[in-house]
Amino acid sequence: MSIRIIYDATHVLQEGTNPPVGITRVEHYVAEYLITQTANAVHFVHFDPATNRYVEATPAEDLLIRRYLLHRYQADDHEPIAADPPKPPPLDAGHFAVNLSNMFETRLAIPANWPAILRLPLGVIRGAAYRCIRAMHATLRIIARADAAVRGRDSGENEIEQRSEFEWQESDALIALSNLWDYMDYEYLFTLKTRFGIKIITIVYDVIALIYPYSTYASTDLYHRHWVEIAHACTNIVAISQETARTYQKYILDPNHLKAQVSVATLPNFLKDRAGDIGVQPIAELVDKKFVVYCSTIEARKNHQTLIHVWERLIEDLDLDSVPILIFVGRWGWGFETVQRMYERCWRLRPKLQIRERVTDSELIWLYKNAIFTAFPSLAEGFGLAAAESLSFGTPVITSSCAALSEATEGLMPGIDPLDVPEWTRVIENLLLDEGAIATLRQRATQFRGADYAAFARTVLCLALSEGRSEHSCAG
Amino acid sequence: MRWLRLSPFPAGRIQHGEQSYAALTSAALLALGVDLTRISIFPRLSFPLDECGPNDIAVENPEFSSLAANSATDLDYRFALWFASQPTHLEELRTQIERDAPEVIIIDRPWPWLYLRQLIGQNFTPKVIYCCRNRLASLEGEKMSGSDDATAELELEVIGRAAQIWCASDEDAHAMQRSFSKSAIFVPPCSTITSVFRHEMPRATDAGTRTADGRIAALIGCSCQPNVEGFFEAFEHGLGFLRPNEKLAIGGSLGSAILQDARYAPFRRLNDSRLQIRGAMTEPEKSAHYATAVCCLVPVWAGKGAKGQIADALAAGLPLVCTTNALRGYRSLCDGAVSNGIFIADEAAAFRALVIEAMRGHLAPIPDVTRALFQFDAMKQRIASAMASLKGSAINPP
Repeated sequence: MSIRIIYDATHVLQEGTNPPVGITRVEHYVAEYLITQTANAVHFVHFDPATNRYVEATPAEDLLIRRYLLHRYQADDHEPIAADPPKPPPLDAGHFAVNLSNMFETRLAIPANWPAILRLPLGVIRGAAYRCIRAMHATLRIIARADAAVRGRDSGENEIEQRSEFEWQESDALIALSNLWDYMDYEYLFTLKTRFGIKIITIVYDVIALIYPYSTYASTDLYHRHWVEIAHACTNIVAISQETARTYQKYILDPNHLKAQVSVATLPNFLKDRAGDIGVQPIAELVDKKFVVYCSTIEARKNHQTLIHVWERLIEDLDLDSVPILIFVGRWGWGFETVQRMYERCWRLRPKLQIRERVTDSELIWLYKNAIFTAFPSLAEGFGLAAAESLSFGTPVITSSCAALSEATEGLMPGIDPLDVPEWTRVIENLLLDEGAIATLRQRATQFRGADYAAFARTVLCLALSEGRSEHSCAG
Repeated sequence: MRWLRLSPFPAGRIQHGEQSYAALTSAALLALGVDLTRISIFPRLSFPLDECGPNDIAVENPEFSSLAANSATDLDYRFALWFASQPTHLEELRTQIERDAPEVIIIDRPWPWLYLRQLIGQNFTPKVIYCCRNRLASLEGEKMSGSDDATAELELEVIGRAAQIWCASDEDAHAMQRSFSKSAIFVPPCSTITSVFRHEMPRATDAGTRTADGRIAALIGCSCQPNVEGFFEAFEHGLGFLRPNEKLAIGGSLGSAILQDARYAPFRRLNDSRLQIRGAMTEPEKSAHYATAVCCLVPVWAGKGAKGQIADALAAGLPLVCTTNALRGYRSLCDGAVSNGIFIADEAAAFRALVIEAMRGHLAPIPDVTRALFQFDAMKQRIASAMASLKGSAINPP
């Protein structure tokens, strides 16, 4: 019997048209590969919290998922897809909430060229509004989950549809790569393996929340349970780096007497490899300017403070014209209060610090290509994709000394203790003042090989298609 | 045959090890036809009201209430000394004792001797049995505080005057012989389930049996520090080594103490999914607790003396995973079953590995011969034998 590939698209549906970053980007990439590169049927399912079961995507949901996955680089006003259903997909309160939230975020974005006197109060209002919307978003998601089966159908009347569980077959392989910790019933997942013999493949991105418990939004126990449960339930786990595999072994598998099949596969450089599809879009106000980029969500672990301190010192030490603009690319995450306060109050930094929350992939490619160098002072990483992305475009990156970043940059770039502000300042000053130093780094960046675009997804597919339930030879 | 038992703790509800041991031995005496009266004398605020029995004398005295509130270590000694100096209280006790005219008096712990010795005279010469539980530290002369010194001195007097000494632990019995050349009778505790409530203790025969909740490991304990520390030492990284369908069921006050401990929080969700907190249990509930389990656990590294809770676990007959410390006091009875029903691990990782083995049905249950040693009938036989030898003994040595 041919192996059916069952793909958990819960998160893909939740994220909708949000720009795919982080986990979502990996999900999109693997799913796209599965759809386009295998003859095996790919069935999309999503987890229904009302019944704690996987349900099969309806035709409308299936279409929506495929649109998110396969047409994300098309313009927003894309042509209708040939297979579009005659009627729009039924309203899902979760998607509605996401889109509402996104719309407000966009509308409330503060133009960078506004005077500071206007930016500050608007920033406060924006922060409050943002928090309200996120709370509303979360509430609506819960409502949507509880009432996901209520749909207006062809008859135009609401009816309660009892979605039955996906009909599993013994040869099925379930690929669940998303944030399972937010929705999964792990006893159910374990049952899929033990009762139905389903092969389950997932990804471990990192175990940072256990090593640095203060660095994540949710409490440690949420993630800890996930990491342990996947070792019990999954037949194969793919670690995104050697460092993640090592720490997963050390902090999860060993203390819990668990033996899991962990493969390591390196994530590709999505932007570089898909640059042809994505295109390049310059950011007008930065053209002909000198700038340094740090691409990451703004959150406690990412340690944006170090770079702000460095830039304060650069402004103090150097001629202002020789100090490049520091650009933070990424959304406000959580635990960003210090960065926000620094950003709002450090008036001397104003001309040299920009925060760009909504940058498209085509703009990001332009930023990578045109930056003097990029920086990545994160306290801890599972891999550090942005550092690898930077190198893939030939732009040097100064990273923190954490092992995963060294791995992501193939040991080519300098690694500095993330909390050693004087050393960061010294290295960056040197790069700004010594053209030879930056040229040397650029030369080294050319040695960066990166992972083959398809390798990671191929590893996942190979594990799904391997005959043995627990043995495989699908090295990444 | 009329007997009296004097205890410095309530006799109403079994809550602690010493209460349990006193209740078990009393139940055995009653089953052997002894006309036993129990009198417990203690400061009112030392114990919760619901632990008090009908004959208990709970003395209201502000001085001792204050000491009890501060958990003073010498409270028992000072209270007994004070009680012995109170003519009204002594007279009340004398009246009751003279009315019952017991031939044998058992005293739990040495302190009742402070007032009992004043009541024993030419016309009243009962045989005294000293019931000794976990007194190894004082018997071995370990370093103690001043108040413990006074208790140790008193205990020497009791040991010298007692017609018979019953020890709850083999270590105590050996220490008695070693230090005082006084032979003691080893009367180990038995399962409370099989005695006080006469409840059947079914053997969970099939370690592979699954209940609706999956496989369950049973653990019972109070919230005392050695039990709480033992849990977190054994399961320092949480209960992730258990599969989702494997649970640890905890009876007694230990469960709530664990939930309130800061060490629980980092693993809360995982532990919550593997734990069943069952709280205080009646004897039938305990019986059911063990009947649905595939193994018993006693993870206790700290604390001196014999642990009462292990008797139930041994009597249950399931594979038992415990520490060397948990078996203290009963080792001479259990040696034959070590690695054959009783599995000992003194390292946390080894302990967890044994739990995994037990959960998955890879460990043998406790042999019937060992299990029987912790049944009520075994205790009855030991006490019957002690009673027989008591008949031929001198009333009380000078």
